[in-house]
Amino acid sequence: MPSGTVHCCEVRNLEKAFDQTVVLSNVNLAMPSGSFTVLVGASGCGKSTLLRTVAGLESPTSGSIWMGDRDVTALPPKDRDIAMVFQSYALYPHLSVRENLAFGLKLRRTPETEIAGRVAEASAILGLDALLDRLPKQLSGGQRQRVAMGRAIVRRPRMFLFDEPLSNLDAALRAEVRVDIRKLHDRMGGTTLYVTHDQVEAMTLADTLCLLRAGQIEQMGPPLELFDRPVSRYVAEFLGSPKINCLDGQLVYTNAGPHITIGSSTLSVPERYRALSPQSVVVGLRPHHLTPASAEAPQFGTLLVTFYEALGFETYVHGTLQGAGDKALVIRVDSNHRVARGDAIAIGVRPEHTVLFDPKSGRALDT
Amino acid sequence: MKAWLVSILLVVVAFGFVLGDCRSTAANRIVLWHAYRGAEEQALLELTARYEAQTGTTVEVLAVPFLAYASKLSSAIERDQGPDVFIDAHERLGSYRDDGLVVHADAAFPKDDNERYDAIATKVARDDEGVAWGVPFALKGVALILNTSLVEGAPDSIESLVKSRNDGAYPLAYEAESAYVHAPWLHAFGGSMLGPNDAYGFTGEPARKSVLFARSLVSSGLVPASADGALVKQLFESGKAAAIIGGPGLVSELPKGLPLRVMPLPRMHAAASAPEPFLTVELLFLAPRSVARPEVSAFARFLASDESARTRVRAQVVANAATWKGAEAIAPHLRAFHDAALASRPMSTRTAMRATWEPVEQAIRSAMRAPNIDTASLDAILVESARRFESSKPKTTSASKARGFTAVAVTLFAAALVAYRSSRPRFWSGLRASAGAYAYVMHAAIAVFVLVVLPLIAGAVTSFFSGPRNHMTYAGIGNYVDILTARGGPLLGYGSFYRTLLVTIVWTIANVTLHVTIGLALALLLSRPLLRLRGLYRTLLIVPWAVPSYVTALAYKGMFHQQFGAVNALLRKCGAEPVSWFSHFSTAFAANVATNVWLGFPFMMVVILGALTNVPKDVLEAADVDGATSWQRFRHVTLPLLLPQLAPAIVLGAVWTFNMFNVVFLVSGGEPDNQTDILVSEAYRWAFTRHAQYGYAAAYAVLIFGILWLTSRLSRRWQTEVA
Ligand SMILES: Nc1ncnc2c1ncn2[C@@H]1O[C@H](COP(=O)(O)OP(=O)(O)OP(=O)(O)O)[C@@H](O)[C@H]1O
Ligand SMILES: [Mg+2]
Repeated sequence: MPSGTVHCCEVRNLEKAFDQTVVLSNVNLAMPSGSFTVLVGASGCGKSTLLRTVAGLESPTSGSIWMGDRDVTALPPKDRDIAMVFQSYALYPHLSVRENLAFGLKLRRTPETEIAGRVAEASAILGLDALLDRLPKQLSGGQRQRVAMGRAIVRRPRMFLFDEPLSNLDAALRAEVRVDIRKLHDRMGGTTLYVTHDQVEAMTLADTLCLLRAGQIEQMGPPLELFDRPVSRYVAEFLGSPKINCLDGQLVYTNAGPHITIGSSTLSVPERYRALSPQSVVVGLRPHHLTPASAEAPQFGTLLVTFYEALGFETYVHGTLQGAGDKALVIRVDSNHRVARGDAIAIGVRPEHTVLFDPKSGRALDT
Repeated sequence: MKAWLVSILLVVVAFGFVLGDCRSTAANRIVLWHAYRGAEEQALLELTARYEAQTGTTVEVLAVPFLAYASKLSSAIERDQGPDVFIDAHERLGSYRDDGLVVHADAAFPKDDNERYDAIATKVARDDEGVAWGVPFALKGVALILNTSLVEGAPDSIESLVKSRNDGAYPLAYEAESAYVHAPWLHAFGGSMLGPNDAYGFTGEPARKSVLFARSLVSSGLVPASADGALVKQLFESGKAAAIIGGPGLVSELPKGLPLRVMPLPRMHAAASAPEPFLTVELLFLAPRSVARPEVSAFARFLASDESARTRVRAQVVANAATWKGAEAIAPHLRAFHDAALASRPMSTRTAMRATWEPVEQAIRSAMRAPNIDTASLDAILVESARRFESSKPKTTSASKARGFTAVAVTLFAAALVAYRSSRPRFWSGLRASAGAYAYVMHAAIAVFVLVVLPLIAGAVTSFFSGPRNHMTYAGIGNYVDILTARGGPLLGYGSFYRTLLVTIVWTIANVTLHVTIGLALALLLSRPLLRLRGLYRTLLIVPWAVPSYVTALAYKGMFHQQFGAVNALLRKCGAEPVSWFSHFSTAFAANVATNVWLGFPFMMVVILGALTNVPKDVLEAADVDGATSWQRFRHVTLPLLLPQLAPAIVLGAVWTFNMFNVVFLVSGGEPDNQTDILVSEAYRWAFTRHAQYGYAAAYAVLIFGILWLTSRLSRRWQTEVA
């Protein structure tokens, strides 16, 4: 056993190719018991494939999957003690809700009384009591989704796998179920691997967030770490809405010390970048870190407002950075801050909120 | 779009012209029908051409396939569109006279010509009053055909022929279970198939002795058992039979260069008289509408003349006596057939004759195939066959009884109608409301009415009549009463409706179960994505479906032959005892089922393959994750999801199998003893072998229709349930 601790599930050096197309490579992922791991990434990056490989629905080209101290790479899904919620829910169309819930237990020859108890428990948790005798086609999308989750929890598996379970729901319902899922996870105490491409889900649900890019793990860690300390411009741009502003700049040293110039604007350099040599950089500035200039956030440029989106609780202001070749920029202001087209706003940022990337490799310039 | 409309119209118009053309009878035109092929046809065409050249008359010659001959003839002549002259076997004269299809032919066969033909032919062509009903033309009968490289000289008796040594070949092969070829033995022992007053003749001492004689030939192992015509021919061609019994037609089909010799059947030591085969005299018949036209009679006379006979004798055994006395070079085998014909017994012209074949063959088969036979069991077989002949005779329903039945039937029907109406109170108002819509589907409705409903009604109406064709009498629901009371016999006795229905149901269930099981198994195999050469397998598995069913059926019949079939050959290779497949119900039934399964599984396979693609993949994966084994996944997920699409296919398959005439008729032919017959093949026998009782057969058809209609109604409930 290479790693010291025993995880609930561990993916080691996983590689998966369909014919010649490599879909996953060099994936290492450890999920401690009780953890909630979320896989995010752009469409087609291999999230579902990774999940399905963990489930046993796909077999890896190389590498191994461990559950506890068992190598389950060659085991079929039924021997892995997992439950899965599919994006399409994949309910058995010919079985009633009750039968759908009981299906897995029946196959395992669980005693009838216990089945009834567990179904009752699950349906109480998920509010399915009134629906138990309906067929899936007689349910709404949200109800089906809950049945799919119920089918997973009655089994009390060691591990839950979710493949974009909320993507077929409307926004309000999605927010509601999202919370339910997390509560359920905490209550059931299982280990969860959850696939989504919705970053709100990713940020709010995850203990560990794992960002996949073209079949490889780009960055993995607590969600806020990925958000605040992205290892690459890709990660920084992927998380956060509106997207992080990325501006081409120069790190220069003058008599006044090091600073960053973006066109005619100038920005002071955070402490941690002080060791860098002068070079071209990409400056990452999150919209909510850009504020009207103040004492803490000294002005570094002027934004010419082209338009704005007032969301009620906050307003996103789109504009160009004066003197920087009309660089597009988005900032966030309080909703009581009145703006209009054509306004010029003096904007500032706290130095520690600036992140720098290498323009060529896109890697963060953290030392 | 328009192009095909126009072409359909053109076809219809052309069809109309063809039909119209048949009607026109030019004064100077004579239409001749025949069923000849090969050299016989050539000779006939040569003669008609000569006649045209001599007289300037136009002769139109139409060759009609033998099997369709009688029915085409009757329907054409009834419509006044048929031939002026036609050539047919004399034994049909009885029914043709009954049906008014022929008239006396005295003008074509004047008394003065009597001496012109062989006495035996003249006797057949004239009735007891001396009226000529046709002009003698040719003689057909069987003789002994020897392979001279295997037999030397002429055997002086059947027994000595069978005992002769000939390099492992069968000394004699003949269709031992055919009544036609068995008849010579019966005649030799003094019997006949049809006695005076249409009494059944296959009884008593002659029948018993003839059967025992044939049995002794086969049980000695020197004559193959249950050979049919094709097998006899094949054995002879391949030098595996030294002698066979057959007619001139068979000889003309043998390969040239086979050293053969034909002779009349030698005598039998066992019997006092010589074996007399059946003789068929082919006659020239005149159709009623043409009898008054002298040129037609003149033409017939010409065809039958001695001069024409010189041409015809190249290909057939002419009935002209002088031809054979003359010094002309005639093929020796034809001369031998002529000699044999003169020693033959003309077949009876009675209509009842046709009803003797089935019971006689049945008796011969039972007796030949029984492992042991003694006087008592043989008598039982003969008594049973006589009983069948009697019970297949049309029953005459008295008029008062018919009226009574009808009253009951009409009352029942009316009651059913009222019940139906009241179960759907809005039927008529609904019909009225949608009347406008019906205008749009009128063309389809008319087509369906003409093509489906009318024949159905015609069939249903026929079922209320009884008796042979053209002599049908109104019987009310007498046919139904007869059928449903098993003709007064035991309810599950021989030939009873209920017994046949039971067999049909077992047949249907067995077949459909196997179709679905095999189709399902193959479809599941084929749907595996990892299978290589999937397309090839799929194509190969669909092939049985693409082959016409009768071809497959005949092939299977051959494979199940007791001595020469592939199945028994395989069994022998494996050291198992060969099985006489068609001697027992269970094996004959199994042979039928095997054939029909072969024919039917591709359909189910294709349906299931289609349905399988509709089973969502993620639902199957959900089952995997839920912990299902492959079998559990199939049983609890795949199968229930397939059923809604499978159900209609099962119902369809059941209806097809219920009515699968081809297989039953061609493979087991109802053997043993009509036990494997299903309702349709049973109906067929009533229509075409047992006194031509169309009404009775139609009643069967209506009952079959009723059963299927009812089951499909019931199954619809099941279909909606699974859907
Ligand atoms: N069975 C397969 N055969 C071949 N290629 C496949 C197969 N399944 C997936 N792929 C490919 O693998 C890649 C990753 O697919 P995957 O479904 O894992 O993406 P994903 O990250 O789940 O995307 P999405 O967010 O759109 O669901 C894609 O490029 C896809 O085309
Ligand atoms: Mg996916």
